[in-house]
Amino acid sequence: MKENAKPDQEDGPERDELRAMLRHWPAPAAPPEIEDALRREFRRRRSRGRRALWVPLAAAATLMVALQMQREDLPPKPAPPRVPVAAAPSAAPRHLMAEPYRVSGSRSAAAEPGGTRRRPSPAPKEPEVVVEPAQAELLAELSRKMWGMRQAVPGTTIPEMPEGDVPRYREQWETVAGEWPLVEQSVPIGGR
Amino acid sequence: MSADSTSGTDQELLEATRGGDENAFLEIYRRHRDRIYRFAYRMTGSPDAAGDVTHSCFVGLLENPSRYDGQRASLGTYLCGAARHLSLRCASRAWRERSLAALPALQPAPMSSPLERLLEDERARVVREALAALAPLHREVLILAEYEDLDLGTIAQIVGAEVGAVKVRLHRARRKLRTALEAHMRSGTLVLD
Repeated sequence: MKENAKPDQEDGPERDELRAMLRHWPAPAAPPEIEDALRREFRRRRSRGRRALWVPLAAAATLMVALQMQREDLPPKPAPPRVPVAAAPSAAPRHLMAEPYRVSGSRSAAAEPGGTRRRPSPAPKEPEVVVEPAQAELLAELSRKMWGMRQAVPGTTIPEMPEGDVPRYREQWETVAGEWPLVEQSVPIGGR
Repeated sequence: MSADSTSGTDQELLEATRGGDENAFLEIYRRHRDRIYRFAYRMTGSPDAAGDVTHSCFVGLLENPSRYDGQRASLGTYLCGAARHLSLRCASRAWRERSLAALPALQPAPMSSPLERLLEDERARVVREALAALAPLHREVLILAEYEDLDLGTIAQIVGAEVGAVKVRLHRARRKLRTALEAHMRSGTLVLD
């Protein structure tokens, strides 16, 4: 500290006299209780700081463990949706196949020996699609056609029917009644 | 107590305090406590308020050690500035609540008679009341200059003013104090040594 580096210019007998007067009011020394209080405060803050350091560390460790456990419990990511490819049509006559067969990976192949029921698994790994043989063939055919359409015109979507079409037909029923293939003019409309 | 905890500079002690060294913190306190306590006592006129101010100063250093910038001022100047701020806040309340009973018992001078002690207490009361009558801005520069022997630059740093302003305040404070004490000197209350 640069104490008394630049002494006050008002030195002189008047100032000495004033100083002598001021010395009549001495100040006591700092009481020792302050030091004790500061020591306690320092220790309290230090222990609190250590606690404050451990809390985020413990929270981070708990979070990491929880994330790891959750990652282990999660099923694997589902495969992109595939159109179920039907099994090759059996050469056996259709009437011999009494029950629909399953188009699936593991379950379709797994025969249940002795009629014992297998405990259902809580989370099947692949979506199960149950179709009949004819439906399977139709679905396969449809998927092939859709795939072909999408390949021909990428980004094509099925157009939606505008909502106003049906009410318009109902309001102008008389004018279109003759054009409607299955409705005769004798159908009563609006109390006529 | 380790040697490093007590022999370093204020800056080194402050760094050790940040690292959790209790002895370093207490060494900082011991180095600066007297000046801080004396200044707060003369500003507030109350030993209890002076104790509170001193405690708060050093707790503030614990709470926000980064507030102290060693490039701008010394730690003693910084602590004096904090004590000044706290003293001004509680000065008016402390002076309102002051009482003679709150004054600490001064250490009697050796071989002093009861009459001498009575006279000394009376002189202290007169000086104390004359100082209390000063405006806080005048009182603080007078205390720092006359009691703590600080130079004008350091006082200017503590009170946050220009050196010229400190000079003017100090001059006016001395003139007012001399005027106030002359009346007691004429009446014989204040007997100079």
